[in-house]
Amino acid sequence: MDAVDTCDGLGEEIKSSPVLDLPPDVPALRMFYLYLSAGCNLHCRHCWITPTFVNGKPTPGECIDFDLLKAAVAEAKPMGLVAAKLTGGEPVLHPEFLQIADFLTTEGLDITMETNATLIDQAMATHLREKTKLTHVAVSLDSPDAEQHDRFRGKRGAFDDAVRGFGHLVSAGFRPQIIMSVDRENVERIEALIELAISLGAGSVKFNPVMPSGRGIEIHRQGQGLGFDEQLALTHRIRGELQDRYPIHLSSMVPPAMVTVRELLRSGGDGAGCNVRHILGILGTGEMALCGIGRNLPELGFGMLGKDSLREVWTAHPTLSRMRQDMAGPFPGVCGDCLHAGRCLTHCLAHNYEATGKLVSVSPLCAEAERRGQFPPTRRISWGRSHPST
Amino acid sequence: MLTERLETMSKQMDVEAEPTLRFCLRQDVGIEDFGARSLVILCDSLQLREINSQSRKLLALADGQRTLQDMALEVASECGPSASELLAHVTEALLQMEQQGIVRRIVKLISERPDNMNKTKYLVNPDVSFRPEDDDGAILFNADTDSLEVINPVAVEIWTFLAAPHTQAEVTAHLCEVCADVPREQVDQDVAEFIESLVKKGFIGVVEEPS
Repeated sequence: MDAVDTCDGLGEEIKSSPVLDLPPDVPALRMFYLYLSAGCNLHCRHCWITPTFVNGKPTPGECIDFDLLKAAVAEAKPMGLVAAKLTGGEPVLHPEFLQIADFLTTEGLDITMETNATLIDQAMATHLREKTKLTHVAVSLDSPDAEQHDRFRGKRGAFDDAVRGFGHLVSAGFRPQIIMSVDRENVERIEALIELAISLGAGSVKFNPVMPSGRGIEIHRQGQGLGFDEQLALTHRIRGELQDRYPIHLSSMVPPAMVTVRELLRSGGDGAGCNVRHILGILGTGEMALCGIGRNLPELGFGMLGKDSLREVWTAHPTLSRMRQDMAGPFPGVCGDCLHAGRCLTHCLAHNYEATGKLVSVSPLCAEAERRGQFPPTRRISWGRSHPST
Repeated sequence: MLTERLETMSKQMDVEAEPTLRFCLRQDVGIEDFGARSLVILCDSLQLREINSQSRKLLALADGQRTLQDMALEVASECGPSASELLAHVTEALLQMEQQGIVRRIVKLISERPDNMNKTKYLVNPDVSFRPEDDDGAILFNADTDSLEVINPVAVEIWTFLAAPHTQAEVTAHLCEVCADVPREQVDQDVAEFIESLVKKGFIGVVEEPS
């Protein structure tokens, strides 16, 4: 798997595999987002998860307990679990990282991973490739310039370490995706980053504008975050001009209503959004949560592994139940008249929540487009229906 | 005047009269009258068609209830020639407006393709909203089923052509005219795959043959 436009990495096959043991109104739990470590060896200025900075080993209690994870997998498989994303903080920091990858593989789960790659050596990369079901690796790289990347990442030498780790992954046979977090400081370097990605052997490049979430709030407060026009210009440049010129899959996370038909055709999809209906996050502390946002917003945590029943959380937690009800429609605001809504599902619920206090709410980009009168009219369900025949 | 106009069209197209066919305006169509001419607005695709007063009169009769025979009778009662003389011309005018996306025929569409694929005719599902964007492609959207398909410019050509019923061979022949540089075998294969996929998803229907 090379190109993943959404952040879940769920393939069609995974989404449609059979459900075993759930009430009819509860969707299958297909995927764990495992925030293996709540700590990170970098101190990225834009990180929305805000992990604890660790220089050596992470603090006990901030890594998912392996035994609790085993129990969670056993509990979730009858509910449809087929995949896991390893993320963090930095997932490789977990003292039992490889054992966890092996365990998930033994359990038959497909694995994806997000990493800064700085701690990955050749032996680890080869092990992951040859012994595990890790199919997709995404590596954060925010600039082709070492100095700029290190400034983003808050640690001198982070660029060199990341490129070295990336090289090990490529040598092992992966074609990792590069994820670039974009703000006003590095937006001019996206083309050079694409060239670097190609030279390093990447399979794809994804561009995520820094969102006003976690540490990103400060970046936006300082006026360094991309505004509405800049985000759209970036998206169209990436998916248009740059995709025309470079032989590598490029993507950016924006609601499908904001991209052109040509760009939709290129991404090969109909604009499906986050598969949050089928995902449960597990934080380093063992807390079950919507996703990483649960680290900063306690109200989006659902209970603790080992103390609370995962099944109970998945089938009956009021926040999840409410979210599912809201996702069944009708959708709020302009989403209620958007033909993508049934697939987009209001895009990134975590960002929506930060912006509006509601999970299922109009995404900030679409809300701004609507406010400006720039929401694409052909994407409205009512398009063409408001002209009475004579 | 009407007879003269329709005779001209008939000579060009050599159309066989189909007395029992019924047509109605497409859902997304609006009409603005300007004296002897009218503008038809295809609201989904934002396209304009200009029609003359004779075609406008036929549109007013195309209510989904009247057959072409009924329409020919009504026109004949106003302008002299017999209904049987007018039927071929009325048929031709409505078929042209069908191909232009102004009217649609009242017909039952099914999703199963019969054994004899050579004679099978396909038609776009009238419930599907067709939304082209520039020359890059289009979105097909069925609000009833909340289903969506993004199609490329070649598929747009097929979709537009299937505003009127056509066989797969006719679609291929039409596309070969449009894309002269693509081998016919390739076109045929692409057309077959596209039609099969969209029939499966309910965007295109198979015209049920009268038993």
